[in-house]
Amino acid sequence: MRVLEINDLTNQNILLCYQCQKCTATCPVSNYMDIKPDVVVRMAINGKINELMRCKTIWLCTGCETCGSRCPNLISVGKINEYLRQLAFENNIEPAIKPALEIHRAFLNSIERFGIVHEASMLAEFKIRTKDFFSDLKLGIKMFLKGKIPLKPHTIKGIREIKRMFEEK
Amino acid sequence: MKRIIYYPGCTLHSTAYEYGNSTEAVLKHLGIEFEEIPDWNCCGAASAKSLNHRLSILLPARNLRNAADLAGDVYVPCAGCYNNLMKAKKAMENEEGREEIEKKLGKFHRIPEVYPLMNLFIDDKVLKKLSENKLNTDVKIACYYGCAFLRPEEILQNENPELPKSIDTILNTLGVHTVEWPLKSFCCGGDLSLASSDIVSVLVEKILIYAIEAGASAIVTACPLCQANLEMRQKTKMPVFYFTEIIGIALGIDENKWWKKHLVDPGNVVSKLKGGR
Repeated sequence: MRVLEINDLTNQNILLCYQCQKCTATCPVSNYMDIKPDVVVRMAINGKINELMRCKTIWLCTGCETCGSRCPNLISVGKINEYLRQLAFENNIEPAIKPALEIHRAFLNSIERFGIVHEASMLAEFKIRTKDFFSDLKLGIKMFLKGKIPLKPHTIKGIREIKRMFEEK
Repeated sequence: MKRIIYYPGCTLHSTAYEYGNSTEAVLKHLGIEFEEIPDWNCCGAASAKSLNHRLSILLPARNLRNAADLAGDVYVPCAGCYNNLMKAKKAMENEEGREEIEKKLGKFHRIPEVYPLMNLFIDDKVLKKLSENKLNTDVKIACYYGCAFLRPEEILQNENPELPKSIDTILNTLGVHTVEWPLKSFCCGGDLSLASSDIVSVLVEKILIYAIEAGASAIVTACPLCQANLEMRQKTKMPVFYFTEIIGIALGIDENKWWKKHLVDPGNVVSKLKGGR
């Protein structure tokens, strides 16, 4: 059963949820979500994984863990969302908020390349992946002029070990 | 005085340059010896855990392994890095988890302790040293902690996630007044900053309005992502400092190059604080 897998991988018992909705009340971004946090828990219990993998909520959750911290049953909806994001990515599900996936993809590619993040090329890759070249352009230039986005990348010595981490399943 | 292992993380060499530079200057001045984790890598930030669970453990675990070769505890200035290192540490607590990680990364000599950078300064000896450098000022500061230093509390076991106080304690010891306000651990939007900047702007504006209403003229934080979001996504022109920059002012070792890196000019508050030296 999927619910047992979720319990196991998120290290909590989501069946304890009695729908007090504190998670939704306390979530800083719940007003932007298409499926509210308490409903995510209910749907996860009922095995509605296909719908959950396609919702905006899992890409809007910031993982701030306020829900988990305040839940009377110690359930973190953030951990469920994290699990669902990984599952959606593994299964090549089209994300409801594409830039949210693409920023993570560009970020991980940067780590795979250098071992640490090189902001300039990471941001360029993000822009290419989302085909949005103009948002935050002024801000980016300002950051660059302040020397906060170094041009020259640095590669760590153990980059082969990092690449192996990415290759192995 | 003390010897620590230091994990700066990616941002302290780039977007949070002033955090890295002020941290190193303050540590040197206080006689705290520090050594970077040898050949450290990125902790995976929010991206590894979003897309690939295995990487979200292995990337920070490699840093723990490299740190194990040095003596001492690891201190981490970045909230995201701290959070990820602690999760890797937690994963190694049970035998099965440790075996799996060691299969990929080799044997660990030991698993070092990991603390947020703030904890280094709330040590009695360090606080005493700080208290000898009091600022005489009426500037009021709102200390902002964000999420990743505080939650999930069962893994971090650091400080009260509802009402944290480490940064307040440090600033109060330096003679700086801090305000009581309810959004100390409210989320700034974190890594939504690039994908959904409109949402982050709303959260940031909310945080700033509460800080201003509480009487603060600046925000002090310890998290590079919070600091970046608060500066990038605000319209208010409220300065946002790293706590190490304020310690630097009190110790008289602050440098103009820190203030030049800020997107919101902090000059006004800096000169008021310096006036109290």
